[in-house]
Amino acid sequence: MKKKIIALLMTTVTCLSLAACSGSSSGADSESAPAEETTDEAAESGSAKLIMATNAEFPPYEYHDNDQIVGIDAEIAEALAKEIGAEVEIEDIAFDSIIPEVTSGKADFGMAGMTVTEDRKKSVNFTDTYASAKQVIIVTEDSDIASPDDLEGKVVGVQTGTTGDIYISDELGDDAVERYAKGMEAVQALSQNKIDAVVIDNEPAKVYVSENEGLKILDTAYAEEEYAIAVALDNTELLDKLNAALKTLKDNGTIDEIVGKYIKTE
Amino acid sequence: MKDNNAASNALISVQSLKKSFGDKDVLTDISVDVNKGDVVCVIGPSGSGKSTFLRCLNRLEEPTGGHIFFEGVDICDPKVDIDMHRRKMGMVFQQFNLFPHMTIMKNLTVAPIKLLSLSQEEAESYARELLSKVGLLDRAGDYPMQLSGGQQQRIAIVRALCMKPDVMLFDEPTSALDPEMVGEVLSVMKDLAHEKMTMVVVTHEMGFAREVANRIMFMDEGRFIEEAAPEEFFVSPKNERTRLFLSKVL
Amino acid sequence: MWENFKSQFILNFVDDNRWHYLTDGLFITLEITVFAALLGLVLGFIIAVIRHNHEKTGKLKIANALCSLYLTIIRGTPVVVQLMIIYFVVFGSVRIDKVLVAVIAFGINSGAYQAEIFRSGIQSIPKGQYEAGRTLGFSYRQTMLTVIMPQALRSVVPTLLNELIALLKETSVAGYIALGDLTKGGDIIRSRTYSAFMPLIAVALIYLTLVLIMESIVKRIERRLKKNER
Repeated sequence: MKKKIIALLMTTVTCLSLAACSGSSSGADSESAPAEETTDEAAESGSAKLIMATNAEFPPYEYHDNDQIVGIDAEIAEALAKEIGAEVEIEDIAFDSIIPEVTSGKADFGMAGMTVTEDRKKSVNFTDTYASAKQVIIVTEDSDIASPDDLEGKVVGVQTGTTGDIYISDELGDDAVERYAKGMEAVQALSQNKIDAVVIDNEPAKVYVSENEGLKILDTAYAEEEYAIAVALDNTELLDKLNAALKTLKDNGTIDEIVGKYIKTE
Repeated sequence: MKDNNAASNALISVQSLKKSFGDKDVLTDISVDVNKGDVVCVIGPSGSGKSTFLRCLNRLEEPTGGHIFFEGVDICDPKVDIDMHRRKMGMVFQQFNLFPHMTIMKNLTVAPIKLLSLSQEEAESYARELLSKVGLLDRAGDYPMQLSGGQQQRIAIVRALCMKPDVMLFDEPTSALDPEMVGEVLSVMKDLAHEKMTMVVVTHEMGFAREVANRIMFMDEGRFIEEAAPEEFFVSPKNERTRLFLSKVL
Repeated sequence: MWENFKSQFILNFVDDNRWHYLTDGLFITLEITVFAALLGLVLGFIIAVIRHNHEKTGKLKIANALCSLYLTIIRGTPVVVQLMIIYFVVFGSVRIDKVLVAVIAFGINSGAYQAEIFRSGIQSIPKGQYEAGRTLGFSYRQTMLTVIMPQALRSVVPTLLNELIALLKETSVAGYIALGDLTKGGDIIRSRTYSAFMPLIAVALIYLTLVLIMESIVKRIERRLKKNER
């Protein structure tokens, strides 16, 4: 019996590790394959589909509105595609799955209020930044937390895989972080006093705070950062196209216009 | 009340017993007395209500109407603690129903120890006494599954006897047995009758009924049609339906 | 090929001691599973007895109705929804240990399934056993305790262990209330390294190993039970 189990385990492990090797070895060159296909198509038909991976729980950058995914990123993507001569199809998945989607070629690019970090750069190429943002701290109105330094020893809620998650985990340690699947849930836990603070991007934070009584955003930001679009490492063709299009849209004011539509400057 | 006085003389006095399942009447107005030392054999065609009658006697089936006096107490009274009375009414089933997770000895002693507060030694020595009577003393440590059907049924009889009951109810005790095992069970029952145990036996064993019973009761369609001593019953039955039945089974 | 495998392995498990997300997660997964199973065992047993008692004696009407309601609701809704309701609604504004919340949620969930396992175990015992017990003079309670339960429990042990296996896998949604269980541990690594393969396969292998161990225990117990029946 025991032998049988061990044998079984061994077989499984071997099979899986074989799959792993083939998977990851082909990963490097196959990553490009689907992407190339789509770009080829784009060249052929003139208006091919570009699949954009996002996590539409992040207002005002991307969120659901009457069956549609809208927001700053969605509109900028739309405009970029028009420049390139393609169509965008938006795919809504978990935030921490966006980069894997892009690297595996399931999506052509990822755009989800994604901050450029060194770690992420190992997996994907980023375009030039198109927006800047802050990681801010949300606390309850009666909280004794007044600045980022006060977070020491507190329990902080984040959305799994966001830069807020990464910063807090690195700085305060894993025990201090509660990783929720959605930013909204972290905020909910905060308003139910289950945690002491939430660290999240500034714009969605504003939306959350306006919708939940008794919460406030601290004036001092936790971190400053810049958003960019993630593209597979070997898909430089798309990267170049997007950068060129971004430049055009920045120069003619389209980007400012779109951002202004969603974010009122105080 | 006249009926109550009558009840005090009989060990079991059944008065106007009725039982129906849904709108199907199984027993219709049965009145009968069982006296101490009686060996009553209940016979009749299948589906006539024999087993239901027997199972009503210890309220394994809840009667729909009527009264059953056992040792002068109306056990159909909802206030009666039926468990107390069942201890004194041993019952043997067609399917033996021994407890498969207990050894034979445990089967025999679990109830006396828990319910009669006998010590384990007392219960076991009585069980051993009875086991040797039925010739199964050497099987005390076995589990029921290791025994033949006939042996299991003999153990089931002993299990009931270990509670020192005042009456034994037998519900077709040999019907589930292979033919060659019927004899050993009947012989235990015969011995029991000789020891003046009061017995109510639902059976198809006409030979046993004729030899051992002092009263034969014939049941058909939920009532007793004829009652007689064995000789009279088998030699010159009065009722037409009894004759018809006997002509088929004898 | 091997180099790639190795570097991926190091990135996902060795760098920054990322492996500890898996070991910590495994511990939490086991903790939730074991205590939830125990809670479910107690709940399931009580419910099965109430339901059987009601069927046999007609008593405990209200308790039986409550049990039916509980079974309907729990078995009719996904466990992840129940978990979220218990965390965000039932314990709405309380700061409470999340492992405890998960134990309560999965325990209540498992209890419903275990109740049905117990009940079918009790029902699998022939009616004659119950009648033999009652005929000897045992009360309903005594009959259940000395005659029915010992046999029923024996027959349900393998099924109960299978429920434990199902429970172990179901706890993988504990991450929904920000609990760092095994699955979430893999997710955290995934969100740091942006590689799907290694963390997911590692998580899957750990679950698989646990399940295989539990299944071998089930088989051993089944064999032993069969031997005793003979």
